[in-house]
Amino acid sequence: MTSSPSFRRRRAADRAVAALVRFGGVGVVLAVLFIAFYLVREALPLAAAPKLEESGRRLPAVAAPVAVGVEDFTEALWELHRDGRLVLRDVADGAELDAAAPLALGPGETVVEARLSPDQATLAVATSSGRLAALPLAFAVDYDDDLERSHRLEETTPRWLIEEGDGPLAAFSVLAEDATVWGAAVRGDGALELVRGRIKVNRLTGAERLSRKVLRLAEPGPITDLALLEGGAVLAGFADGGLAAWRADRPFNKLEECGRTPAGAAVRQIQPLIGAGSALVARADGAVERWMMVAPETGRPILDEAAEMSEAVPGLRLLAPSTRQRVFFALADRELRIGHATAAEYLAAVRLPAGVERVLPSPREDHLLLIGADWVEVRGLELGYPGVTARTLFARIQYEGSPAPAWTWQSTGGSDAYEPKISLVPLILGTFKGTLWALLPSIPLAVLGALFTARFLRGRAREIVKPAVELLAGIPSVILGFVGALYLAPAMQDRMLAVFLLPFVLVLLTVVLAVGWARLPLPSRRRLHEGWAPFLLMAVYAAVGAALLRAGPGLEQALLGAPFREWAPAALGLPFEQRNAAVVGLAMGFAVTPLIFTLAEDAFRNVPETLAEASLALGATPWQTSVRVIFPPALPGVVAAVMLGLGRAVGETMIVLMATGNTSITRLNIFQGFRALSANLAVELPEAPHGESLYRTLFLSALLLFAFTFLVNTAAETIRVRGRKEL
Amino acid sequence: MNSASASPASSLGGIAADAASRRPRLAAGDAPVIRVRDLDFFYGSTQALWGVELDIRRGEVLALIGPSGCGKSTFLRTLNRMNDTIPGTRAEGHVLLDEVDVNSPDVDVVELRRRVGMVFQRPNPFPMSIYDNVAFGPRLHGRARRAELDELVERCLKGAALWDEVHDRLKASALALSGGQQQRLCIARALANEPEVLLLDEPASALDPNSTAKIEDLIFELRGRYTIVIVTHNMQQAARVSDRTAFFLKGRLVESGPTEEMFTNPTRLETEQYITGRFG
Amino acid sequence: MSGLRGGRPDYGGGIGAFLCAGAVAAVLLGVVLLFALLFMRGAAAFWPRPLTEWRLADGTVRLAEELDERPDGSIRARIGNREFYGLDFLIAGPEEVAARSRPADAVRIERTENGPFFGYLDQAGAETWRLRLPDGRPVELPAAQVLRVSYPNRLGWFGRVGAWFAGVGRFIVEEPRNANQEGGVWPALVGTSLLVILMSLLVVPFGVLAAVYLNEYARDTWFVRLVRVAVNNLAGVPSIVYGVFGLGFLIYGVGGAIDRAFFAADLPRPTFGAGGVLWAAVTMALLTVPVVVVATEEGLRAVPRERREAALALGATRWEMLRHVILPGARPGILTGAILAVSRAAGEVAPLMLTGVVGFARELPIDGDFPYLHLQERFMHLGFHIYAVGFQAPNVEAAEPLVYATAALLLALVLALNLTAIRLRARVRKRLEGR
Repeated sequence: MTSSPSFRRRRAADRAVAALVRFGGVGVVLAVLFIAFYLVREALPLAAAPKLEESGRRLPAVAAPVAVGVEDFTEALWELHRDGRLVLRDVADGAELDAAAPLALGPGETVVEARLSPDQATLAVATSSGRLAALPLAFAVDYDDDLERSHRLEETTPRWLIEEGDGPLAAFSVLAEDATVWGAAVRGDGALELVRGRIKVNRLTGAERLSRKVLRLAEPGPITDLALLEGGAVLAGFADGGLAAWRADRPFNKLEECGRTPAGAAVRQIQPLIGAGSALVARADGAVERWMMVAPETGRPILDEAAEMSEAVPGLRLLAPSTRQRVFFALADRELRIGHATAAEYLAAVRLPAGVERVLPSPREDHLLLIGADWVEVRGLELGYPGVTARTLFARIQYEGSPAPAWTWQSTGGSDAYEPKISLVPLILGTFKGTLWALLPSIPLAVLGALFTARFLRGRAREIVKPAVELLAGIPSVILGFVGALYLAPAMQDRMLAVFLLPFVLVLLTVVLAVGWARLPLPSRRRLHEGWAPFLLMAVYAAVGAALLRAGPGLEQALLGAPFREWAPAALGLPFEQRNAAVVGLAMGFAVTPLIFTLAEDAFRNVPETLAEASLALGATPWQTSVRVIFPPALPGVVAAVMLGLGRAVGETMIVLMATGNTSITRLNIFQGFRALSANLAVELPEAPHGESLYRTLFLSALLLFAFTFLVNTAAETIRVRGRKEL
Repeated sequence: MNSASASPASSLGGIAADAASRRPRLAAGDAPVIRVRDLDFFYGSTQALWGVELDIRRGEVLALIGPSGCGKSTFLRTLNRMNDTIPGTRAEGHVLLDEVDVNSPDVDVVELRRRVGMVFQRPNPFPMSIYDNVAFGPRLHGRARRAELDELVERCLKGAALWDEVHDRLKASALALSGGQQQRLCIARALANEPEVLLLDEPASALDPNSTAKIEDLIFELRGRYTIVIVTHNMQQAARVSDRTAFFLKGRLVESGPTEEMFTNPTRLETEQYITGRFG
Repeated sequence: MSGLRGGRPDYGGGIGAFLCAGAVAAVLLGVVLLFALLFMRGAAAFWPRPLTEWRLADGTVRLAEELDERPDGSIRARIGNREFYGLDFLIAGPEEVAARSRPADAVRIERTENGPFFGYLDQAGAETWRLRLPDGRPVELPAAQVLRVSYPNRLGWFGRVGAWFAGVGRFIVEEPRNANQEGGVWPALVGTSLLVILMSLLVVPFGVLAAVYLNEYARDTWFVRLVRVAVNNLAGVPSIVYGVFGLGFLIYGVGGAIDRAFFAADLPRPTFGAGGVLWAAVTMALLTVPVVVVATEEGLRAVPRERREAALALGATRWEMLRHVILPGARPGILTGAILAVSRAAGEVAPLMLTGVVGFARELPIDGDFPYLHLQERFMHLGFHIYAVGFQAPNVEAAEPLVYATAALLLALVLALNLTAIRLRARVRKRLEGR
């Protein structure tokens, strides 16, 4: 038998469509599944450890410099030499690009030591005669016609904080804040001096002048190292391992001690971190601690230990801070550790060649300089996302300026030096807080209502209730959020007590009505069975509810002696906010109740009618039938419905965004708001720089949401299917 | 009437006569438990029963026969008002149980259904254990003492001829039983309520012949102790188990009488045609 | 044995059933109150209110649009003339208002700046209008600022109804003014429609394709079962997660790549590498794919097997059977899915906030300039409008009536769509059960 051309055409069309459908169908399905994959892909780099290149370019130094560094592009290397000369050299070939002598040293005076600030913008320079200067470092970039870069030194003038030397300084530190330069040093005579320099600019000439004030502490003890923290606090370490902190009083008359610790392993180095909000203390036994000044609610700030690194580094020699984050490099014998101060742990360890005396990250943190006695090696550095670790995401952490460890989400602050607080705990707690208060009223309402609708409602009554609930399920959540925030919140804050009493009053009322109903003659009672009771109750509820809510403010005055919102903080210790979890619970209840209701109703209706008949034929009342025969087999379906409701509440965004204040707190207090994962995404993701830590952390939180709802939904589906199979 | 068409009727008559010979005659003139008078029944605007009048006597087995859709199941369900569960239904006329009209608005259907038990066409055990199925009714009606329940469950399972098969697995799921066992369990469950009247709606139609035989034996056993109304499609079954038979056609009761007489000597032409297999 | 008569008190179920009935009552009451609140306040936004002259105890005179009375008897009123009073609203207790009257020639002027003017009109010049404040002080207003003049105290009942309809009409077809606090929602309506149309064009064909694959072509393997579970579950994944995907993959990933390939000259200013109506529509399409797939599958299953067999027995290929028998039969299901998807997209806001919705767009994404449809443009959306105006307007109290009106409009749209879908679905289900 031969096939006709038309038949072949038809076969071809059939095959083509089959291919298209397969391709398209699988494609759509995969595209949707791709979402999960993509979220993982974006969040995964967070887990990567920092990486340092195996080897790098090594160039010899001309003469052993006091300090070395690179400019922004890591194309030019600067060196500060003993004679006070500042030299700029090409990183590629070592050729000299520029040189200057900004320090103007006295005769025979040399630079003894220089320390670079964490932001690498200021160099603290100590001379052989015991003078101390803050030297601003700045580099200029010129572009030629081909957009090739060339580098030169920007003109700079040192700010002398100690002008009269009396022998080399034992320890020193400099901190440049906006218009103030602080200096602290242990002078040749062993006294501790704190210098405050205010930069005054002459309006006419533009000339700068430094107006200095000095405080002196004659016998501070054997200080091994010191550092200046924010606001000019001096943190000093002693040979016996003790630490002490001082601050100038107001109005700058004397140094006040603000904390002293007992002895321990000798202090080797005190290294402030970017922003000088805290400092790392390195000890002789390799331990590294993080210390900061903490302002209690009253009184002056005191010294407090925020954290100790998770492990000691054997043979620790030196710490170097990174320029933009709270990462630091701990140099040990032939080993480098890369640690994070907020996370209080080391993220990577790298073997180093012999002879490395110092390390320094480039300003952009994309390179690391290994500095030997007479050479400098430049290696590529990939820090990744060191600030995002399991600890910073989930553990309590004492951040700069806070008095105790806490879970905090505050991802961005005013300045680059801001320490990001990215604990997901308050967001997760917030999400569950909203879910809890939403489900609490919704579950009984939805499940009992569904049972009544499935088992007691007939005909017309049913035709009213079911579509009404389905329509409620379709209300856009932005409308519910708006109603919650602009109608419910202000209305509820004046009658919180009445709102809380309302459910109890209505339940009591229903019980009373039920008992009264039972006294009616049977024929009128039968109407309940036909399902008209809800409509009767609606009228009763509306009347009683309106009366109670109207009386609300007066009731609070009468019972509590004050409005509830003032009474609760005083009597219960629960702060009260207008946009609180109760408002969200109610508004979200409108979204969750119809969902649970519809699904639970399906579950009840899926129980075969023969079971109900059997039960009724045995003389069970409809209520007994519902509870003993219909409910148990429908339970898996009801549980599934509740779980799907949970999933909905967890992911709900607009209601939470609008009806809460979006403050990230970790209290379940119903009278306060919260910040949920979903709302946090809506608020922060549009502003998060693409590809950076915050962006990826937000992707991680989206992944959490996705995974949680996916698991809950799968579990619900499994329970439902299994329950149905058992019927 | 030729011999070919006469033979089924006479053979049915034979079965009925044989069955009747094996059971003691009921005392004549027993007062009826249920008296049905001028009963009409409606599904919405469709009338399903037309002026049914029938007495059901205490202790007898009454078979309701008739072609599909003749109203015999509907009639059965009016006796314990199971039709109430179907929206839009309405009964007019009187169904008197001990002289009380079960359709009157002040009758408690719950009590009615306890006293008039029912077993359905398809076995419908609850998804619970065998024990809990049987104990379901007594528990509803407030008999919760353990020893009393144990004794009752055993008695009912024995009464339903199921005890020997399940006594060692009373806590097993009722859904694990075979179809015939499930149906006997449903009968046991109904018996546990100690009903006066037991309604059986084609109790064997979904079962295999072996299970059917067991159900029929069971009905035979229960006879005299309970008033039984059984709807059946199967005329042999009616002939075997019933004392009296009522024949329904198109929503009307055509005739009723002692089974033996009905099958050997029907008074109405439709009855004869039906039992000889002319239609149905 | 107890008698049949009289019965027990729990015929219908007693207290338990009553509590269940109470739950139904509470839910229904919630529905009724919510709808009543939104529709009544939404409608009230356009109801012309009379201007009442308040002579206050301190001697000042105001024309007040009385809004609501508070429990303590004080009245909240809009007093207009923001540039003179500095406030939009006044709350006065009964003892503060010495006298109230309704002057017939009190005029309400809607204008481009400073909210409405309440006072008296002396002369409407070509350049400037000479007006009097309620207390008689003469002021001038540039004629160009005047939008509409009305004398609310002269309106009869029919006049008010007419004014109400006119107000609703203007609300729908006008552009917003004064930081969205006045005027209409036309651009938001256009934005929503464009979004929904684009989304439908994507989601309906692909959703149907996926459903046909799953229901007609795929064999019942573990993979297909897994996929079906996944598709069902994706319907429950929070919408914001889709937004996150849209921002990361579509905007930064795909959009960024398009920019590098075709709009490199404009970089670093993004063209497609920023939020826009196209990416929002694709995101919404992904979000609603499960809705369409589930509804279409239900529709496909409603086509009885006998009909398929009949088609095959007549010598149809599978494609012909699909085209002539199954797809026509499944049409109500497909339509249901499409409508549900549209209603979801019309109401969903969270993912849009990440993919290109804005509170105020200077230009519509669709206009008379080539290429007429600007898929990369940011757009306005009714749902986001509620959020933006209700939460970010300079004076939320003044904008509130319009927010209620916007919410009522959105709700009406979504309810109409959902009602249609519910009806259609009921038809599909009836057919499924009738089989």
